[in-house]
Formats: sequence, C-alpha cells, structure tokens
Amino acid sequence: MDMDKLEDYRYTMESCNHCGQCRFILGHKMRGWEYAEVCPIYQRYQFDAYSGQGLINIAQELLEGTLRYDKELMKHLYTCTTCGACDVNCKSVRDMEVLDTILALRAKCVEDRQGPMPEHKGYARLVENTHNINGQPHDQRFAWLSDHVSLSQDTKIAYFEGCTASYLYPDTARNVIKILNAGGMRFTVLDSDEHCCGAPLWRTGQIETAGKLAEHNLDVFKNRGVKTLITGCAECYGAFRGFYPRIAKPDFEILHITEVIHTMMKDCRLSFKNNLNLKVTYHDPCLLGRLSELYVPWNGQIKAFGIHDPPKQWRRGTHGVYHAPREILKAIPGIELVEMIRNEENAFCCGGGVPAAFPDFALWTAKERLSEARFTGAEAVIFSCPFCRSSFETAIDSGIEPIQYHDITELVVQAL
Amino acid sequence: MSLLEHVYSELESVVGSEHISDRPHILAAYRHTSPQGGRKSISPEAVILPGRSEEVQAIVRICNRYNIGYTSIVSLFGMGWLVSRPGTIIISLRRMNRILEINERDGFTVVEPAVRHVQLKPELMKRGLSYPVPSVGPSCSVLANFLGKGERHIQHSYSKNNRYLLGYEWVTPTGELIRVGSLANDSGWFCPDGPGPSLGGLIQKGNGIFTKAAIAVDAWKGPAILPTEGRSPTYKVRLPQDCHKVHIFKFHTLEKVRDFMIEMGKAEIGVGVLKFFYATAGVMFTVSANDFWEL
Repeated sequence: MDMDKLEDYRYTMESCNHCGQCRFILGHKMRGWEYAEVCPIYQRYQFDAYSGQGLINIAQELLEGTLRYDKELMKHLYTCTTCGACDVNCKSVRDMEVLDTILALRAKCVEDRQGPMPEHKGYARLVENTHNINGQPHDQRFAWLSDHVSLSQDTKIAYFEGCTASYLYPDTARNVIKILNAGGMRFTVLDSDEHCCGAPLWRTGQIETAGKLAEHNLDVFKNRGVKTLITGCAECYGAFRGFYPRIAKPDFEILHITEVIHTMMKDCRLSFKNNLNLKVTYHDPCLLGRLSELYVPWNGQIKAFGIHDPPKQWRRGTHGVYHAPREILKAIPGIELVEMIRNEENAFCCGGGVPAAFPDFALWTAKERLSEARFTGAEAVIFSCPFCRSSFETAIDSGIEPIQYHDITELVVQAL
Repeated sequence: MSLLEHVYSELESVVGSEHISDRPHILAAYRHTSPQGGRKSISPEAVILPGRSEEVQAIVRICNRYNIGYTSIVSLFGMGWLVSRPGTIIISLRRMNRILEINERDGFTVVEPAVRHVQLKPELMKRGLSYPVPSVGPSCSVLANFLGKGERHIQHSYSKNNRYLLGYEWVTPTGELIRVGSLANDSGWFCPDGPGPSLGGLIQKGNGIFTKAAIAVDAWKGPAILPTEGRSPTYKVRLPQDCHKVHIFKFHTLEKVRDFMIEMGKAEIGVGVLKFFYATAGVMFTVSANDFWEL
C-alpha cells in the first residue's frame, strides 16, 4: 500500500466504531456545555453523515459501489473544511487516518470526473494561467516590496510569501520582512519563480495540478540552493509539511514566521519595547497547528489488531506549532493572553477551507469561532494565517458584534 | 422500499425540511457495518431530527399510523445494525441537547438526550458536583448511558449506574408523553419510582423514547477545571492528593481478598472487587496498536 488511493484506507473505513470522538472535544480538555463540538459541518448541519465518521462511511460505500455519485453528494463531500479536527480527535484513541481518507475520497471524485466543485476548478484554471489562486497578474506578485527592504543574494534562506499575502494582504508580507530585518536575518525572496504552494488544490482533490505546482516549487528551491524556507502563511506551511513529502523527500527546512520570531527572541535578536495594552486570544490555524506535523510516507501492511508493519510515524497533532505564537504574545508588553476552550489541537476551524464554494457556511463557521473568541472576554483575536484573516474579516464585515482581529506579525511590528 | 411521499411530507411538517433527509449519502452514516457486529446492515428509509418532546410524540404517532419502524439514537457509539427490518426510520435526538437544570441543593441535574458527558461533567465540576461515567467515552449521551442496567466498572465505588437515574419523561410506543416517578405527582425529579406505582419494569431499553431525565449527582472535591497537561494522545491529569489517592494492594489468594474486605467493611469503608481487564490500562499507557502489541 502506498497510501495514495482511496482503497489504501480501507482499514480506516472498516474499523470505525462510530464512537463520536471525531465530533467532540476530548474529555481532558472539556470545559462545559458551550463549545464542546469540534467539527464545523456536524455542528452546522447536524446529521451524522456530516462528520469524519459519516464521510468515511460514504467513502466506503462509493468504493464498494453501493452509493452512486450525484450533485448533492458532491456538495456534501466538499462542504467539509478539511480542518482535521476529526482526524486528531480520532487519533487520540485510534490508529486511523480520517482526514487522509477524506482527501483520498476527493481525489477519487476528481479522478472519476465528478469533483471538485466548479469554484474549485476555477482555482486550477487561475493557477495554470497566473500561478496564483487569485487570478492576479503574476508579475505583480512582489509588487508590495519596497526599496527599503533589505534582501540578501548569497543566502540559503528564502521567504515564501504565498498568494493570499501577496495579493490580498501585502501588509502582512511587509510585516514579515520588517521582522526578519529587525532580527538581522539574511534572506531572499523567490521573485517570479514563486508559484502557488498548491494547498487549495491538494485539499480539493486536484492532486495532479497540485503535484505540478509542488514539483515546480521544489525545483526552484533546489536550483536556488534554498535550505530554509520561511512563510507567514499557515496554508503554505501545511502544504510544505503535509503535501510536498508525498511528492518528493524534502531536503530543506520549513519554518513559520512565528517559529522564527520565537527563536530570535530566545537568541536575544528581537525584543519588544512598546506596550500594546490588549487582552487577546489566539486562534490556532488548522494547518499551522494540528495538521502541521511532517508527513512521512509509509508503505506497508496493516495486520491483525491494527499492527502497522513496518511501524508508521503517525501525525496526531501532538507537535503542531502551538508554543511559539503563545510565547511571542506573552512576551509583548501589555498583552494579556486568554485561551479559547477549543484551542491547540482542538481548535475550531475559521471556515477558510470552503469560502469559494460555500460562502454562507464559511461565514457561519467564522462567526462561531469569533463568538468563542468573545466568550473569553478578549478584545482581539490573533492568528497567523492570511486565510484566517480573510474569514474573520468577512464575518466582521457582515455586521456581527465587532472584535479586533490581527495577524500576529502586526502586533510584533507594533511592539518592536 | 422508501417512504411514501405523503408520509415523508407529514414527517417533514413536524421538524422542517432542514431536519429530515432520505438522501442515500446521508443515510450511509446509519448503515455502516460495525466492526464488532460484522453483519451487513439494513439501510433506514430516512433520518429525522426532532427538537422537542412534542415533535418526538408526533413522529412516533406518524410511524404508528403507517406501520413504520423507528429507532432512536444519539451518539451511535459501537452501534451496528441499527435497523432490524426494512421500512424503518432513524430518530436522531441530536438536537435535544440542553441541560435543563442543575439542582445543587437536592443533588440532581435534568438533561435532554443529546447532552454528552463532555458537556455535563465540567458544568457540574464548576459547581462542586460530579457523577460517575459508566464505561463510555466523553462524546456519549449521558441519558442513554444511565438507562443501561448492565454491570459497569464504576459499580465498585458508586453502585450500579441506573441507580443514578431519577425522574424521567418518556414518549411511549404509542406516542403519549409520560412523566415517570415523582414527576408524575408534580413532586419534582428526585425519584424514579413513585410515590405510587412504578413503571420501571415496563420501561426497558428499546421501548419508547426518553426525552428528559434527571441524574443524581455527588459532591466533587477536586478542581473546578481539570488540570490537563500534554497534548493528544498523551494527556495527563494530576488530581490534588488531598482528595484523590490511589492505593494498590496485591493479594496472592482469594482468602486474603476476603479477609481484607471484611476488615474494610468493619471500618465502614465502601469497597468493591473489580476484575479489571489489563488491556484497558494498556490502551491508556500506549499510543498506538504497535506500542500496545509490544507492551
């Protein structure tokens, strides 16, 4: 088994005993009646088929031919934000691959010419033509770079900014640069060689197109001698850690900007002077938190009792980037950090995985998350991903009770 | 066989179109073959999600009128073969998830069927109360769990779990709403059996649908919030030693166990003997099937 086809996940499909852990926060992290559910689709649509369990049940029936494709089924499969909360909660007690089964199911839908949703096909067309998911001119990707930025040529460290920061939130990209400069890091950017990381295509089952993007970017990293890649985008980070190893063994280090800042703080290369006087809560982006562990390909047999031969390196969400952003916030003068109930590996998705095809559901999800943020008494919700920013911005703009929202790099720059 | 259109419409009129479905992919979640069961399941014809007791009554009456079977569910834990004959619908009580009352003075709480342990237990702990969870995980229904009359691993220290079940509200197989125990006499939720005749013998699992129940609660001397360390899958919870201690005794013969129990009884210390399956402990201390196998 190479674990690249839906059939390879038959063990997961057959061994589910419907325990329901894919829908609820773990017992150890329980805090009360509110905010106990972790699966956005289950909470919103309420039928059990809208859950990790339901999706793998559907996958099994499609594989066995007892369920047939139709438009409603496609909508159902693509409503899932692929946030992975089901996956890590299931894996707290079981050796199952719930999210990879869902992703393999989507890949099968695309292979069978049934998926993805039309809006997702649009991503692929835009990427093919413009190398970014926004359909913006490729030569404008680094238009935000100013002459005041200090870049180095003879370095093996590169900043990969990603489509969303490039075109929608260049202020975040500029903040990343300011921070790297302030910490004395010598780095470069990839200019027109940087193409979309492929995350939106990978997560909608468009593996072939996503694979081509990965191959392109991997070639760029290799040809430019990149040994350390820094990104401020959780989606890009998650793709480099979770998808690229399925294409080729990575020979470079991947760091999120929060990890870089944390290291600079520990090395006394970065310190904060300004008092921000703000009570905040931190939202863990899915692909920076529970889904950011490095994917290690496994090829073997699953024997009786679920024994994996050879042993498999599991991604259970244990080693996500949870610590660094919190340490940064705690170090900024005047910042009081309070936690949401659903945090770290149990964090509730912002809805960023589905806005194109299901804007109403994406909006509902973001509102639910902001409601939880307000429940903590925080004045602001902090995140470290431009997709989360887009989700929260849309929710706030829709007219709900306001709360401040900031990318963590914004606070760091203010505090320098 | 599928539901006749007018039957579906009648059911839909009870809960609204958003809370009923007969789409094949929606029903896939209720016909999955359980790994414990092994037999291929029969598909339900539809799933319906009532939000109130009155809606449950209306659904049951429609089912009776058209000879449609029904099975009520909440969390599906370990369930296979939900449907025993074609022409059956699933009544998912998932929307009925409110904690209706926490009575600190009289020591009980009133819940709807879809309140889960992961929700109720911490709400009680905040108030210095708790209850024993009988052999299931955090996402399971509190109400369904306490209906079980089987032996559970909590009984050595807390008695049988169904002893915690107090007054309850029950939709009969014919669709009447019955308030059982002290509730029937407007005497509150405190007792499942009277004053007056008990229906305890009549009401067994599988008959009718429970829509509200009171559960007895105990005092909780531990912290209001569990002090959890670590991350999935290796959490640790260290409870304060002034109110939680574990003593491990080893006995080499049953006679010595007997003597020990007699002495404990004389000291008026509650005691039970549990034949504990070591595998359960093994699961708790390992992180994968491979680890467990090597243990």
